[in-house]
Amino acid sequence: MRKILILALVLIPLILLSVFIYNKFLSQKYIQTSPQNVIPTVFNQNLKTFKSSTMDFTVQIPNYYQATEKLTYVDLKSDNGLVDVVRNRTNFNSLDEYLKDTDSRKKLSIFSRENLEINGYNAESRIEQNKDSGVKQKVYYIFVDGSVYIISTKIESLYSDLDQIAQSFKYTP
Amino acid sequence: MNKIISSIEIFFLLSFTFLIIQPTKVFAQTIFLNSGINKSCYNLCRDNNYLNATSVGTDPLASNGYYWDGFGNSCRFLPADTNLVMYYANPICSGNQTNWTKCACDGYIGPSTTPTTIPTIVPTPTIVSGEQPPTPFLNLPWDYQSKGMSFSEAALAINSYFDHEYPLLSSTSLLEPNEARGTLTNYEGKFRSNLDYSRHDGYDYGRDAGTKNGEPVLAAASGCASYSYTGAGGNKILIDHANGFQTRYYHLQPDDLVTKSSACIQVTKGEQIGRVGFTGNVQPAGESGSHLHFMVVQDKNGDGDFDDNIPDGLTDPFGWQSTDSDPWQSYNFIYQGRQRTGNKSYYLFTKAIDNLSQNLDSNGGFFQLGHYSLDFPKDATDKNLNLSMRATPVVGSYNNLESIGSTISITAKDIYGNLVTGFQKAFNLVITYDPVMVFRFKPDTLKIYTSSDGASWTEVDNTVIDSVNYQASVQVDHLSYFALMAEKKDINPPVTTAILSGEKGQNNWYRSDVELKLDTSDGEDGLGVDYTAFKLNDGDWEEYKNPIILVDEGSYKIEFYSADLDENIEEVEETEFNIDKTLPEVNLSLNPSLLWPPDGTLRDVKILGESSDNVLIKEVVFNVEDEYNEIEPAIIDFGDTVKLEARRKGDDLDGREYIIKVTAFDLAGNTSSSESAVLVPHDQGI
Repeated sequence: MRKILILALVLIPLILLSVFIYNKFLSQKYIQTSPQNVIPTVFNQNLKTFKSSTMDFTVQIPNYYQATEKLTYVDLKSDNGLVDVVRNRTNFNSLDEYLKDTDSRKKLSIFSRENLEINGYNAESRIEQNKDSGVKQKVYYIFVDGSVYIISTKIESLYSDLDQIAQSFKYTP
Repeated sequence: MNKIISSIEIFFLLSFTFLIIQPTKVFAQTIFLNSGINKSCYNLCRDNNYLNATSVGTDPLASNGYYWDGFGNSCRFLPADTNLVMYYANPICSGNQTNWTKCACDGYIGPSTTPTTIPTIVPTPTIVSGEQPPTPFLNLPWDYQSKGMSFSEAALAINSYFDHEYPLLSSTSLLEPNEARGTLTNYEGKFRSNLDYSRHDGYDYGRDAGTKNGEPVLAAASGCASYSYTGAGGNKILIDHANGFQTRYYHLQPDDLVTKSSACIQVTKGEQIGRVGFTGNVQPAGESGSHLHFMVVQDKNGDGDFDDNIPDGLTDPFGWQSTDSDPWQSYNFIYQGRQRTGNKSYYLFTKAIDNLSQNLDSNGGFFQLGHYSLDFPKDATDKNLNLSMRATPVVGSYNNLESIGSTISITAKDIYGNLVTGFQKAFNLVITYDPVMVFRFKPDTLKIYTSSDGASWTEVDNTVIDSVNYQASVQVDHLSYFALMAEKKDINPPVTTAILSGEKGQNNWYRSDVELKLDTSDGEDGLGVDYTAFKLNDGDWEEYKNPIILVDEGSYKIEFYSADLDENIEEVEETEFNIDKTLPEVNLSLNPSLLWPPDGTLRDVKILGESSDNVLIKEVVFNVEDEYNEIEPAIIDFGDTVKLEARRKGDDLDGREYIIKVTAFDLAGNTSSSESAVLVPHDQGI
């Protein structure tokens, strides 16, 4: 009985300490980092250039992607799924202002967040989930002169393609 | 398929003939349809002015009251809100639709017609086209041209779109389902996209559109303007256009409003009705959030009150530009105690937006592909068509004509997939050309041509050339292949001459390094030489730029041609020559070389030696020089034997000498010689 008591006295503080550490450090909703300069991916022969004539941007996409361009969006499709690009024109002066506003109108869980600079433009990448719909997506928000380009995919296996595509983004009016 | 179509057509016609003689709002009548192509039961009924639709499907998942819905990246099947939705297609569901085998329409709400005669049913093969779209009547409500913007640029400079799934912003008690929250489906059918913003029921135009704070807001069309104010919309002007539509303008400044009364006053199209401001809810808050919220409401129940048709009368003035079904048009819901359905949107602007849609209906439309554009006027067709434009290859040469850039194939299909080539009214086909390209052609021959097969071309009458804007245009009433073609100024290829410089040998042989120069002329009327290409022996084709020095011995075959700036290409010419700079080798010996005794007899002398060459000895020439010029025997080749006289004069103290000389010639004309002597001595002691 005494041994059990001693064991309990040792284990309980350990458990409490573990819970504290988990809550304090490991259960953050997202990781906030300082802006990073993204060096555009080195273009190679497995990539091709897509220039949107309606949305004023150029990206490098893998050769096996096909682009469908409309007036208001671009779909980049592969056999594995879709990466899409839309542009939201805004009256905001910064990406932070825009995200603050749009986040206030959505219920989001943000699993990761990274501030970036892509070809000189302020950007943020996230993995976020709409709590209402359950839809999870990886998204790049790129702020260009009041407009926010949103490049995203809902397919987890395309996250690396999305990274490559989004980080090659250039504004080409 | 044709049989099905015919039966449907006849059925519709019978139904319509019956319907149009009924008094208005006969809700008891029900029609039953057994088949339809590419249409839901619901849409078929709606297209024919029936309010309600009920279908029975054979597919267990397609039974009444269920619909497909996209959920994340998967498709799921949900109970419908009411039993009216028979069809739901969206991109995520890859066009899944509720199949139906029997469709019942009732609740006729078509135009009022009082019967004057006993109805006579006369079937005709005319296809009933269904609901006619309203006449476009709107302009953009600000002076975008003063900002240097085209209509298309300004119209598309959108901050926030009309949400075609749930445009419920003005109806706070109506909530969108969880799966649609935070998403927007816009007029191009981008389903549940990241576009801004969910539930929005109009269009926001802000900084990019030039609608900054204080920008004059203009009436999008003539009508009767009234004022209202709400906390969310701020100062609002509402214009009733007396055609069943009302436009609304929100967030206006409190000053310079055309009226501040709820009683309307008449305004004309383009008249200033207020200024862009930031009253009501704007983001970001304050002046920097200034924008114009522009929306359109239809008085669906025709009671003159637009408020009671919010939200079900909300209309997207961009229409619905997708082959998928418009979710708003088929959304059924109950609001303020009344069963309602969302609205069908039509393009309502009087000016066209480039490539807004591939749909062509009686309202006309503007389509563009590359340097081709088509402008269909209103009533060019009475059908709903899907237009397809496809770039087709350049015509390189056709009866001395050449197309300027690629050609185009344009086709249109009706809802049954039938090709439609003719139109009730001519449309304007404009082809913009590159002045640099046209420079190559005779200006007076620049015409638009048409072809039914892309191979045989005929000129379209009355091509108008606008040489200032570099456009060719024509009025045509059919679809086919089209091309801008003209006769080329320069139809002759250039002429290239190979000039070889070096020590010329025999025939095509050179005995030195050779300089190759390709001299090209495009003639007096030519546009000039573009390039000259050459190929050396079995090498690759290279572009000729400067003379080439050939130093190696051997055989050369030079092929060459030139192309001019008008893409006339010369036939490949060639020249062949050889270089041999090496002399032949020759040596000569005679046996015997001494003739003794000088007894006057003829003695045999053997001609010994040989000649050789790195290529080939062409000829060996022998010559015999007799000191006394008395004997000159012929020698043909080495190994021959000649007879020389063994005699000398008595006073010829150094003896009689025969000198035999041989000269070898190679193919290039290089020569080498050798000589040897036969002596008839004076005495044996010599």
